[in-house]
Amino acid sequence: MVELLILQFLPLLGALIVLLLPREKKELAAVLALLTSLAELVLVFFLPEKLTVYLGLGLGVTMVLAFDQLTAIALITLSGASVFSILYSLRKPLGHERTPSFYSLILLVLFGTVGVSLARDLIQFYVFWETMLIPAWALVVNWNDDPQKVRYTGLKFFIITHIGAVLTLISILWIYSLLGTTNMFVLQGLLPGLPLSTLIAMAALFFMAFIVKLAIFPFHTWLPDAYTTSSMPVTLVLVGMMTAVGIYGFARFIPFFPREAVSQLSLPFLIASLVNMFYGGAMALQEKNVKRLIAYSSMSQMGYVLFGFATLVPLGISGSVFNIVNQAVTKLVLFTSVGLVAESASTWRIDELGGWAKRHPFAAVCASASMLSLLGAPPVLGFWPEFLTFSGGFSFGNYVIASLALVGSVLTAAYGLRLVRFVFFGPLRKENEGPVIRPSWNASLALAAGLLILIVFGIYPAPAFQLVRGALNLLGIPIGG
Amino acid sequence: MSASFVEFIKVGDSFLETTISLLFLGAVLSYLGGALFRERERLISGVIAFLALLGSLICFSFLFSGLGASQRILLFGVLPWQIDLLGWIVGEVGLLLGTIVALYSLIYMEEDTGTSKYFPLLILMVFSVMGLAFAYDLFNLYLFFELLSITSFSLVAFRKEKWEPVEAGIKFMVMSVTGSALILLGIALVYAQFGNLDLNYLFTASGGSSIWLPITLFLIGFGIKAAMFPLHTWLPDAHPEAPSGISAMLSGIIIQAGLFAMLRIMLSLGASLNWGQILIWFALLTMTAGNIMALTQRQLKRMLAYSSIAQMGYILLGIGMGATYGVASGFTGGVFHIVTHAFMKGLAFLCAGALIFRLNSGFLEDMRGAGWRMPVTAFTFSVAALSLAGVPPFSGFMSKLLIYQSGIQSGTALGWTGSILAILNSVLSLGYYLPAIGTLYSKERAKGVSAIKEVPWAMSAALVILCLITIYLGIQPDPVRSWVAQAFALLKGGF
Amino acid sequence: MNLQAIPLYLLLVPLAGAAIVPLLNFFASRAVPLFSVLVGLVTAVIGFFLPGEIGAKTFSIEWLPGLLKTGFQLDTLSVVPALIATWIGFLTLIYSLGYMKHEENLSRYYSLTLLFIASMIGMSLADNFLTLFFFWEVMGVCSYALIGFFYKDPKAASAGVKAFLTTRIGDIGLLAAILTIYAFTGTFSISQGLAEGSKIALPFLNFIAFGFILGAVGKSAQLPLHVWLPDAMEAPTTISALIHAATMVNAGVYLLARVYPLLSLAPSWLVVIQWIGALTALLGSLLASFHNDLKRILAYSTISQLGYMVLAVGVGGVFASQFHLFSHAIFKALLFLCAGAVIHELKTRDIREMGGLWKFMPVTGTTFLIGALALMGLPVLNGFFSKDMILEEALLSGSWAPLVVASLAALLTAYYSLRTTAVVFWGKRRTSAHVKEAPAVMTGPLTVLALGSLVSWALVGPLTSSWIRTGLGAPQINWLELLKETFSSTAFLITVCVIVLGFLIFYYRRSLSWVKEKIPGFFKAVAVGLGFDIFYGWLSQQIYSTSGFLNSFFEERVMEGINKATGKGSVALSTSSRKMQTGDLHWNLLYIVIALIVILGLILW
Repeated sequence: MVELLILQFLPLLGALIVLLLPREKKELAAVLALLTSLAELVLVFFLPEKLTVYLGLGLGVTMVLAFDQLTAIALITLSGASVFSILYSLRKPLGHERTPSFYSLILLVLFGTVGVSLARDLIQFYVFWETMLIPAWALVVNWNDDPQKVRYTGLKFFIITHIGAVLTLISILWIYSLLGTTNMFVLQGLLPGLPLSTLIAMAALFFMAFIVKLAIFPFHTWLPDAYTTSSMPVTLVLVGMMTAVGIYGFARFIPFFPREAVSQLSLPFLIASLVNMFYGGAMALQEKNVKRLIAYSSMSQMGYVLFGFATLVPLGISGSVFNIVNQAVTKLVLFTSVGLVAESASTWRIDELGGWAKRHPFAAVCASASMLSLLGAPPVLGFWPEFLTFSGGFSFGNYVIASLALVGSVLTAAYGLRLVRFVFFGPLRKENEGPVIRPSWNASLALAAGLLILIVFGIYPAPAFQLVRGALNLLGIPIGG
Repeated sequence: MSASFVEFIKVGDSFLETTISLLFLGAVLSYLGGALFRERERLISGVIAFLALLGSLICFSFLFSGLGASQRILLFGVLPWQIDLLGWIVGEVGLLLGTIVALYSLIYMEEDTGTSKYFPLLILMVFSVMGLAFAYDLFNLYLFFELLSITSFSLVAFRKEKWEPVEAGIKFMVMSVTGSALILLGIALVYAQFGNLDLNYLFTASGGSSIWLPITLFLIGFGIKAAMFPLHTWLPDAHPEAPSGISAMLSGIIIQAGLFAMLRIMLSLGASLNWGQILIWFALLTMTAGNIMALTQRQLKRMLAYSSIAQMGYILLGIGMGATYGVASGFTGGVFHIVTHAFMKGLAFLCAGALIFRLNSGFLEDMRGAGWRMPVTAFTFSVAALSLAGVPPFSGFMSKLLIYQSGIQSGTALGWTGSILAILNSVLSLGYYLPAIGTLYSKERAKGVSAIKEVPWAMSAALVILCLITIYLGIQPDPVRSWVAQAFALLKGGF
Repeated sequence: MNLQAIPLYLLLVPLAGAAIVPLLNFFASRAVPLFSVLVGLVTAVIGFFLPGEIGAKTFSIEWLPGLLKTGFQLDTLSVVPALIATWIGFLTLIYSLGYMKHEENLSRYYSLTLLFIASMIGMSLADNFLTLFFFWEVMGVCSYALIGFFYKDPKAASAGVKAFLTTRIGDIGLLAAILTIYAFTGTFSISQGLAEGSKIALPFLNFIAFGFILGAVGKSAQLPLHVWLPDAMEAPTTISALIHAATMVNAGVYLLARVYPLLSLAPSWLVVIQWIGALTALLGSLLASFHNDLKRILAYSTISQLGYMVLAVGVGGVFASQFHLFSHAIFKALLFLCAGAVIHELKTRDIREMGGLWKFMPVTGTTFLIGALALMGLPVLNGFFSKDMILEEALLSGSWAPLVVASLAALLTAYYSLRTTAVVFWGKRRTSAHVKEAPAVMTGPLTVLALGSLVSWALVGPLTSSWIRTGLGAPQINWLELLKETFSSTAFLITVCVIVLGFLIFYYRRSLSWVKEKIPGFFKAVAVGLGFDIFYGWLSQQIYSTSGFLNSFFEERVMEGINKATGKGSVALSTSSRKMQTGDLHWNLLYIVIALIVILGLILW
């Protein structure tokens, strides 16, 4: 009961406290923010398996907070990601732009995402969804590397994401106007009563927010710019938290809508996901800017995530749910390790990099590991979600589509290998010659943690998969015996 | 009637009478005070006016405790009013906004002379709003409407030494006088037909009889005040030229008061006509036109003026939906949007005023980076802008939500179109709100900016209060929202 | 120790070693090589107990709860590759002590090597397809990383990428096959899957068979995916010996043998396998005959030998294929390690700069010769028996055309083995470099392997003894019977003939130079490996340029264009609509009139 409220409002509290700090108290702000998200992360592990709280009136509805294993997965990822980002940003001396407001905004994003993953009322869900968008936008606009482009980027980011959200809002209002409630527990029982065509349209509208958030073609144009112009910690926030919460949305609402309705969307989603895989892959294959390259790779990865969901086969869905964790960890480690190099080389252009394994051995190891995870090769984490996704594809029964997805994974391998090859391998440029660079303690710590997760769960995924399985069983998607 | 009932009427009108008398007292005293102590003019008349408004606000709030079904009372034995929850809500909003504006103007008007007339006029304006909220016969309604117009365009043209305000005032006057003439004509026609101007009577009597002409005239007349497209043309000139406090009042409550009067009349008279549908059409036109024109404004206050037009569109849409398809959420949304909009738009204008107060320029490019120097102003403005754009968790979203919902609930093609257009409009409106916020927080700063500092506490206090209200109504729309709903549930006809 | 757990120990010891090495590197980097060798030794020792485990019931672990329990499957088929990995791996590790002494980042090298050994063991002992695929991929990753070990060298880095991508194409085939089986039978278990294979409809069987073959073709460098193996020679020679000759490249053959029951349900694919094998054998030996890079020669010869094994599976001689796999692992590892010794001394891989090394490196020379003879299949060396068995099987299955092709390949094999030996060790010196015999840590393994190539065929007894468990029937024979059978077989004649012919060609190679004049294009074609690389290069270039077009045109112009156009459009609309705001009273009043008319119309309508 109360622990759930703490879980929900701790980040908000932290954000307010941090916000009220004077501007020069940067270190204190950073540490407070770090502790807050750490506390959030730890708290998740001490919560009982299942927990529901009715918050009485708020937002004009009866707010419902509920905690289950799926929420747990999301929360672990989200708070973990925010810990990671804050840790990365926390280097000495803190740059002048690391104001308290910066950290308080990160915590606000966390607040919003936590709210999204705890919400069991559609209006509440939508409100938190937007609440998460505002601070993210503020971060993108104010903490960026490209002042010329940022106004346009920020506008694009907010408006395109917002369009997705309001389409969801329409669907929510539609549901409310037909069924007179927005409480998800109640709706679960009521929805099947609606005519099929209505349900299909509703579901299609509803998923738009997540489709935009996952940057599914053609709603992807905000993603590369937002990732590229933002400064590193902000990018990490976007990569780690925004993506995770988008995937979570699918995981939460695909079982929410009656199966016969969603199954009608299965094929379009599959096709969309294929397009994403190949389009994003093709973009990444040619991209000269490494940050943009990873952004596009993220896009094509989201294709796989959507693919897993679209199969509607337990294995496929479990793969995508597994991806909530995998995508976050993989991308965070990849971005960070490449980011360290780009920082040393003071360029993001792939043709000006190369041979950095010599001076950044640890970064090279991390980047290679995360790259392998990206393209789904063992013995790192990425293998399992990818495998589950594909097995979902084949159990779904459409061999053409499934095989195409497999072919897409070769494309993934192509750009993944290209990335590592041209950043870390080959000869080092003359002007970059020098001794081995030891990354700062915070970056190393963050990377080491990520690497450990990648490898340990890569070799022994059982605990993680157990969690995923439990979560899906609760949602009525049984896996295995 | 039962004893307790008599009791209530006494209590009720005693509170109301105190309120009104406080207002009048305030008006007179603040004028005299200002006139007597010339050198302290602004402070004395301002403080008196503020206290008067505050007092009457408190008194008026007590009135709520006993509000049931609508009750007729004869104030001071001369003023026939009919108090009900709906009117109370509008009056309360007007008073609250007026009080805050008075507080704000204490500092804001420091360059101006003749403030001993400014504050009394402000009080009269609030009073006329209350009159519009409670008057139940067309004659009184017209009276207060005129009072409203007079006060408002004299305040628009308050800075008479400059030409633009005067010109704007004149335009405003000409147009609203045209409107009043039409209204008067309409009233005459009604009287000729029914021999009675009591709206309650008209509601019972007017069933089926041919009143299309007066209805049209009323729509136009009040439509001008309500800045209904294409009758809005006075507004983008008037609002920016007025002192910011007055712009806040105008956008916040005055134009809505006009709309509110129209609503009362339509509910009483128009039962037999499809005025709701007309409102929907004009609502869609109005909001789209307002948003699109706002997109390329370079002056902050002008931009906000256009956004007011767009917001009026939302209110019209809600009411239209309610009237056409009888969905409660339409009326509720419409009036609740009047409430939320009063605060958020008031806030936005006061922030703009604060910026101008420091920068002496209303142009956005002169405000680049001001947010870093004036954190309170910039932050509250951001809240206001996002709330106006209907982004949760701010109050604007909650009221717009009801309006969207009403369309979808109606389950008709027009309803759906209306809602979807409204939603897309709110997305479109981001196209100018976001850049405005971005300008305030931009990295490179305009030359004037580096010198400025945050506004004095009295002004920032006003901003903070409004900001808190905006956030609160967003997170906790009830009970206010439910009061509005309740008010409409109590309604039969106009009252 | 608890014997049940032996396979587990065999898997976990090198795995743990791989994990410990990097940590060890932090505080005692000097100890890394020795530690690794120690781990290799322990593994090898445990390996000796493995054959005793055949058929034993082993426990299994929940890997994906509710979805997959993984365990070991112990029969001769699976044990042999595991043991090859263990023992040759151990020898390679010892050899590395000398060979890699002067390199840096040794911890990476040893850690990956140990990881590779572990994964090869895991791959071959796996009792379910998923585990098999897991380790299959891990092997690929190790191979990728080790090929690119000298990452500063662009050639090496690119070779790693090429190898990974090419094998990846095969891997997705394998994964597709596995998942299709799962979709139909609902199990990943190999034995169950094979047993229930007959339930699957033929079209899907074909799909599955295709997938498996694709996987094998990728991993075992068969036509048309063989291109990665020659490039992989950028790896340290030890790695070429271990991964790209003795173990990993055999995985494909092992896989085909493992799923033979399924393949035999789709007979049309067996023919395909035969042809793939035969043609690969021919192509490999052909290219090997005209190359001058020592390691590439060996790589091509590996390709062609693998072709023989695939052919053997194709003609149904599963045991023959495994027997040849066994022999080949030994003598090809030997050849590579010898080559390594030579290259280590001469710092070049071009055989034209070698020659006359015999008297300087007697041990290396002798062992290389033994290896070469085994490679060409000279009687009583292990290569002879296994290759003879393959030809015999082909003969029995009556698939003549592949047999002819294979015999032709055998002829060329004989030729190039002689040529290589001659050019490298005999004749006069062509280099002034100071050359001395390799240190004992290197010659030791060479000697052991040389002995192996001489006598390993005698192990046919134990190999066949429990072969029956695999359910891929083969006669149970001991080495004497093998001798009798082989020398009495018709295939023996073929072998002898092709070897003699090979000798003759080698002897009269000068007088065969007319070939050059007659068909010059032939040599050009051979020089570029018959243009496979050119084709694939062109293909990838096409893909790159397409994506480049997409990126620069579609993404930048069209998609961004839509965004920008939306913005511009609304701005234009705004500016035009603002013209309405004249600020002129006449217009405003006019608007009022218009509105009046409109509303009247609406009301009355």
